[in-house]
Amino acid sequence: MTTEDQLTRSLHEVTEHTDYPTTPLATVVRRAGVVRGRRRRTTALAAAAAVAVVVAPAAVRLNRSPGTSSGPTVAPSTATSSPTASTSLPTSLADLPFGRAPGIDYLDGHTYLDMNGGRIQDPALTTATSATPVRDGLLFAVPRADPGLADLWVHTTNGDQRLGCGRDRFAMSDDGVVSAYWVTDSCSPGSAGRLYEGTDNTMGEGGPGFVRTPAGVLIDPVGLQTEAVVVNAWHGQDPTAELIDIGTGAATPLSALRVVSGSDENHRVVSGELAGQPVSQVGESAVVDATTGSVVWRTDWQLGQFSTDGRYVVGLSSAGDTYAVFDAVTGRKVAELPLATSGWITQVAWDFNDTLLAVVDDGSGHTAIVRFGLDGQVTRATPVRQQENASVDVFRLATRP
Amino acid sequence: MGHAMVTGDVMTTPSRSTRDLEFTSWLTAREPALQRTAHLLTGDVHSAQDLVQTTLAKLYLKWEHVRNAGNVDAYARKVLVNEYRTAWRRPLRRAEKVVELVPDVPAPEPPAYDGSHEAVWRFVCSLPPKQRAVVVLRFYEELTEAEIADLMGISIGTVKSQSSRAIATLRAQLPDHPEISGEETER
Repeated sequence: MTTEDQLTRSLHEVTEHTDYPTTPLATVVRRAGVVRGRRRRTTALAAAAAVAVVVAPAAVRLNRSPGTSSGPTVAPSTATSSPTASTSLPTSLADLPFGRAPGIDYLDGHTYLDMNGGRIQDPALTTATSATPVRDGLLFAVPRADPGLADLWVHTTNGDQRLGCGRDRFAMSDDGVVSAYWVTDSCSPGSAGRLYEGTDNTMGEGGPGFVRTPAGVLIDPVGLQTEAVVVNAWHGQDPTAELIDIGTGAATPLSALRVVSGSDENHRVVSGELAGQPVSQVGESAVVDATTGSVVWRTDWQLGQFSTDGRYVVGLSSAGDTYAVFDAVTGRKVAELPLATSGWITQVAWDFNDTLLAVVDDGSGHTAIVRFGLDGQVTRATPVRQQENASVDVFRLATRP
Repeated sequence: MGHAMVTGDVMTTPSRSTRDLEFTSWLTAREPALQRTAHLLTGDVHSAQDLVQTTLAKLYLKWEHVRNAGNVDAYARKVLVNEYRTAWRRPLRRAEKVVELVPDVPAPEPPAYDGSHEAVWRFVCSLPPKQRAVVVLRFYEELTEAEIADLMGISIGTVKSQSSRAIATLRAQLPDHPEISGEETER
């Protein structure tokens, strides 16, 4: 008998001499509820990456009349045909039917609202651009005057503790347990840094481990793959999409992509802008196999994050005026967000697997979080607020669980 | 209410009872196999049960999609292995040992099988997670190297190296068991 055969025989012996429990369906359903809850919270984190790459270049202008708001000017919607019947948004957000609250955490002014109804109030959150709960409290980022860097803080019951300078982009694993963020050694330009990855905890025993990142490179975590963090590494104005092994610190380029904008850990794919295109232009995007680096499908839409189940990926039209949802496997367009309204969308995140949340400004300074279903249904998920601060939105879809 | 499914442009929602019946039927038939594999991966029955429950929960959430794709067993195995590897990756889990009671005496030894099997089992339990997963999938599940590479998202070369390293170590560490130290016996 060979060693291999003996190994096989021994493993079978182990299992044949063991009694195993059975799992009632009720236990499965209960556990599924917990997983689903984590996923809902996790999905918003996807939004941060989508916002970073898809939304940041220009808020989406939706048939807005010129001069009605101080927002960015973008071409009017080109209402293309869509598999899903497009529903016009009413002129006033207040006229939208009020639906259930967001299934993910979000910021409303200086209040952080989690999906379970919990609230954290902190004046410092008013200017935070991203936030995520961690075991010790709430991690949030406030942009600094220096371009490209933010102050990272942790809010706890004992007050706010500053972690240092870093990027206001966080990433989270699909199950909402493992998070990643980047902190610089100092706030000086070009400083080296540390990429942290670990359970949702920022300090103490069991907290994340980190790997060193070189000087002169800014790191934006986008998502996680098995044993690696998917990042955009900015060398000045030039990004490279990379997988950074959290154990060794080794960086593997995702050479097919110039910028990565979404990551699906379960199916081991990433989305992003294809490499080899002029930086000054909005080019083609693609879904790429994270293991082999091969392009699965490509499109002239700018792709963002994947739905929690990995079935869909959100995209922004090359004109920057229309959002759509694509089948993540085939690239088939499944739905477009109804756009026949005035105003614009400043952030989009997956809510449930078949609904998206968007922060919408109606063009008159009123804003709310709106839920778009793939079936064409549109409801309002929050009260309507007056947009008072020109630099930071009242509503920000919190990144992650 | 079940997951909404998009079929073409039509939204359909299968009933919860139909889905649960189908899922329960699959569960009854296939859970024992998952439990066995999970036991070999985690090394103890309690951790295996936790791993299997998480796997079943994730499968339940995607049931229609996975069932329609016709690859339920393969999907479940993939989730199981990935969950195992992800759990290992988490620092808290890594240090965590699931026990029913806090022991005030040394933990009992694993069940004893006959000499060589016990030695092999101890060896498997000592392997690092990735290598252990490769060993279990290769020598228990008897998957091909290509299937393991696809399932774990690693190269075939990595599967080969992990597997051969494990076999070489097994031979080196267990010289007292000639039947597992590389000596061939007649079939």
